[in-house]
Amino acid sequence: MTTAAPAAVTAPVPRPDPPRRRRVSRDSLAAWGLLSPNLLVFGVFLFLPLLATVWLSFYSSSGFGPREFVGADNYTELFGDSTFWRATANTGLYALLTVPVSLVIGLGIALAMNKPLRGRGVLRAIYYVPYVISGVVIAVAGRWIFNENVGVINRLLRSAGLDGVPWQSDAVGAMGSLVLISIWTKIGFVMVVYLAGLQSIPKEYLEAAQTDGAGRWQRLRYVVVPLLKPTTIFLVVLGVIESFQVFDIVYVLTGGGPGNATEMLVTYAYAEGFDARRQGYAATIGVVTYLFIAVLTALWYRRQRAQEADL
Amino acid sequence: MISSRLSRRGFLGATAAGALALTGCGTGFALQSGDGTGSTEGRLSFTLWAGEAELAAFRTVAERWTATSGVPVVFNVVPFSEALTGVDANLASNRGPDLFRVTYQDIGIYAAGGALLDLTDLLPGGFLQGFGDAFVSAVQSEGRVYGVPHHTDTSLVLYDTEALAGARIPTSLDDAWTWEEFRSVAAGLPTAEAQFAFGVNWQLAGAYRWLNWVDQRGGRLLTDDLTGPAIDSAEGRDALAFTQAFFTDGLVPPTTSTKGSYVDELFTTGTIAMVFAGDFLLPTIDPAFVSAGREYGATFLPADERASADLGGNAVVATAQSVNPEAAADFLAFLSDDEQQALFCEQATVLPTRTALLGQQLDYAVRPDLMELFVEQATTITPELSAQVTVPQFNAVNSSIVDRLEQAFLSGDDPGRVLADLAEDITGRLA
Amino acid sequence: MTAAPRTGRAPRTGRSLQAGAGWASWRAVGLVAGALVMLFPLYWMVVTAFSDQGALTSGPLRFFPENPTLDGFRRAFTLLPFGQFFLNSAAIALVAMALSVTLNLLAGYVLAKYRFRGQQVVFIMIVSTLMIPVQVVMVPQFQLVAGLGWINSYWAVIIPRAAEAFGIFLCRQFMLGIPDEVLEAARLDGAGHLRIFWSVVLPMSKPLIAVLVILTFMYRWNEFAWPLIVLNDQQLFTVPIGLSFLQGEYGTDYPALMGMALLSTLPVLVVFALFQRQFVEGVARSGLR
Repeated sequence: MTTAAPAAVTAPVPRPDPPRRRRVSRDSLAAWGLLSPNLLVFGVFLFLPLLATVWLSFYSSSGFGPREFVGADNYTELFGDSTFWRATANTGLYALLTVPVSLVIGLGIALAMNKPLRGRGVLRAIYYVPYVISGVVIAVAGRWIFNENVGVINRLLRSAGLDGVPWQSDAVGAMGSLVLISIWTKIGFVMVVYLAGLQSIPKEYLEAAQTDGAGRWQRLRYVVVPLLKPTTIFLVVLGVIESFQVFDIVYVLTGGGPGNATEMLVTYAYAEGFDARRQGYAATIGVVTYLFIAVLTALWYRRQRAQEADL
Repeated sequence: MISSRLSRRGFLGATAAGALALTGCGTGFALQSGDGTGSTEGRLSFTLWAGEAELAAFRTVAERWTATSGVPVVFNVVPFSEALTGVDANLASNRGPDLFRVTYQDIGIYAAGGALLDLTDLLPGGFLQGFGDAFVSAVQSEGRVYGVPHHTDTSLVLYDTEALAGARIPTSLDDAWTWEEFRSVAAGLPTAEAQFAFGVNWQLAGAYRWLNWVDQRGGRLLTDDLTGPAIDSAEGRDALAFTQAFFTDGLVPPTTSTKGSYVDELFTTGTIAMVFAGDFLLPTIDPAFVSAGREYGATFLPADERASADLGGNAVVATAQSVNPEAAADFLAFLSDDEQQALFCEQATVLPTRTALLGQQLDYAVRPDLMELFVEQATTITPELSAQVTVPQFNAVNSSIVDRLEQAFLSGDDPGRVLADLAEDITGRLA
Repeated sequence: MTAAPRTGRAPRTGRSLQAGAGWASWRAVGLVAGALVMLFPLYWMVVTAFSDQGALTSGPLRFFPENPTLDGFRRAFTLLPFGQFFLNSAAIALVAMALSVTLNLLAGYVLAKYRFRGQQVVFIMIVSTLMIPVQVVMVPQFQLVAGLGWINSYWAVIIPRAAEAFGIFLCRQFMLGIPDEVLEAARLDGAGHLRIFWSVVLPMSKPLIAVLVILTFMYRWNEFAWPLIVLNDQQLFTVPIGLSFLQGEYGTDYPALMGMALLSTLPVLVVFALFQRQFVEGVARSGLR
């Protein structure tokens, strides 16, 4: 509720109290009424399955046939499972690599694009295109382009007299290809959001800084970046949530290999559920992944509220 | 601005109009088609993945059966890579199809979960006696029959004729390359930059093909009673050390480990001079070589203590949820009788499982000369190995083989340690 | 180069104008170079789509197909009814988009402009659905949809995804910026809840709607795993499902796959192009205050 106060454009008007109070119950009835289609869909198609997943995480089940209650065994196994921890570390690393890099590049492009420029619309569309392509298509194209033996990148490198990069057979190469492709897809969205953020920075601030003799870099460092902080926090959270759920691109591009070098939380859950047919264990991985994201997001939420309190 | 607003309004209008039109004519908004692939009376639903030629053959056989039985067969073709996800979801919701296609390695888990129809008393008496022992053992679980061995596949070594010009090419199973001879042939091949001697088809679900080497050496993955691991043995370590050296000596591309990419593409593009490849790949490999004006041949898998080949191919099973068990069993028997199986194998370029067809020359569409060698190699699929790769938990075991072999192949871990880890995994997964 | 007289800024000295011009051309060069890098993978997809399968991997590397051919497209359309798949995808994406956008706006409006007990909890619950990994809950979801008898109908794809947390979040943030006074005035004129929503809130939310249209159309158009398991009839398949058939068990037909992949991207691009003008404004007014 504290977040509900809009950045007031007009001076606050004193509200007469009595009529408002009378309206409260009617209002909340209307509120629930207007919300009900959403709540129904969320309840039935997300929370029920989520509960079923939590429930399944206490069972051993192939998905069909008899299932057996195993108490917390799946969780005990999970905490001793080195592949799970490897997948957690990989997922964290993936987030750490893709989120900051795509933010920095996206901000750079947005800054360059924030001034009039011939063909700006076309450029903006070009940078945005990768974001709208489906993950499956991107992964298939990525596998084709980054193919270690016949892919265009390695063929280019070899024809320049260099060694091809082991995109598939080496842990670093495989994670590298994944990160590069992810950054390529994310830049466009980051750019648009930063462009939006830049538009809401009052011109007077920058002009004031300029008259104070601040250079281009100083204006960026001390005026633009701090003012974009809400945008950045928003993008970081969204980026982290997406990173923790990364699936299509890894599943098709590397299949989690080489070794477990690019195994992520959700690909591992999928492999356990549908390849090894250990649906109970897969559910456990899913529940823990959900909790990971929830904790990270809660931390952000707190931080954001603390900042709002500062303002 | 005005024009863009107009076009947006136009777009929204078109959206509404288009949606209405689609609602009117499209079937997708109607709920009556909602029974999907679930088993219902009066028809057989069949979930499968299939290439073009395979699907055509399946359809031909189904039409023939429908002509006599009067029961239509409805096909639900799914992409290979996600083939069983949908089957699992449908089974979990009690709306499984009547029939589905499944690899021999996957049958066990479905049988153990009670998802399959017990065909033991539904198939004609003595029906299974018409099949090779290895295939019979593959569709059985605890003495009951859960599917028909529809066809098999196995691997040979395909080679680029020009690259292998100087080497001795074995022409019969008896004089197949020994391991050492194979190694020296491979090591003697001229390789340019980014070119390698050969590649082996043990990627992902194919990881079990690595067991050929173990079996050739005389070792086993599982104990005789199939209840525990037997892989951490001298034979197992020999096999792993020998195959690990393919990577450490640079004979195979590093991308062809168990989580790597499929090897047949590398063969057609000339990256590798020899490839371990299944018969079903000939329709893809052959045109590539023909169009590039290159030639290729095939020879038998290397042998050591004995010859051994991988059990590939697929069975077709009926589900316990089928409301048409008699019709399903009748169709399965028809599908895998001599005549229909011959037709399927010829059109789809795969190998028969029926003993009568194994001795007979089929009229294959692609490279019948090489198919003859595949048929011969298929006789070295042993019932012992076949029983090991069809235990109920084999898909879990196989995914562990994928992980562990990758440790040996790419990280260069000591074979003894890797196999000890694998044995530990297997113990856990068989439990 | 074009930076000169369009802005009404404070007059600059000649020197800084020159520096500005240098900066501008440097900036333009950088942006164009970056755009070329961004385009390269797409360009390579185009080259692949118009090439002959064999010529792609053997022989010298070519940056233009030696004998451009439409065979890849032809093979794709002969193998599978892609025309039908495009119709199916369009029907699903358009209906789902219309539904999702409506529901998003309603929820965002309520969460931004109403006060009621449990509001905070509802908001947190909705946002928390963003964190559910969809692959993990797919089987129970399927069981529900199957129980409702929706398998093999578009509704199985549309309804379970109709409520969508990210859109609601954007709507709420956007609508916090609509002054209360405007709504109050409408209320005093005797307008009901839906009336206010329809004739006051919606007209003020055009940029937001542009954002929602672009995003939800894209989500539904690109979705793969869920439609794959709930649509079991080739007549109902969507384009991404069709694409997955081009990566067969026995090797991948790259020209056909890349060709159809490119075609499948066009509708999303068209939607973006139509709405992009308001897109930045819409984003600017949501989520970022």
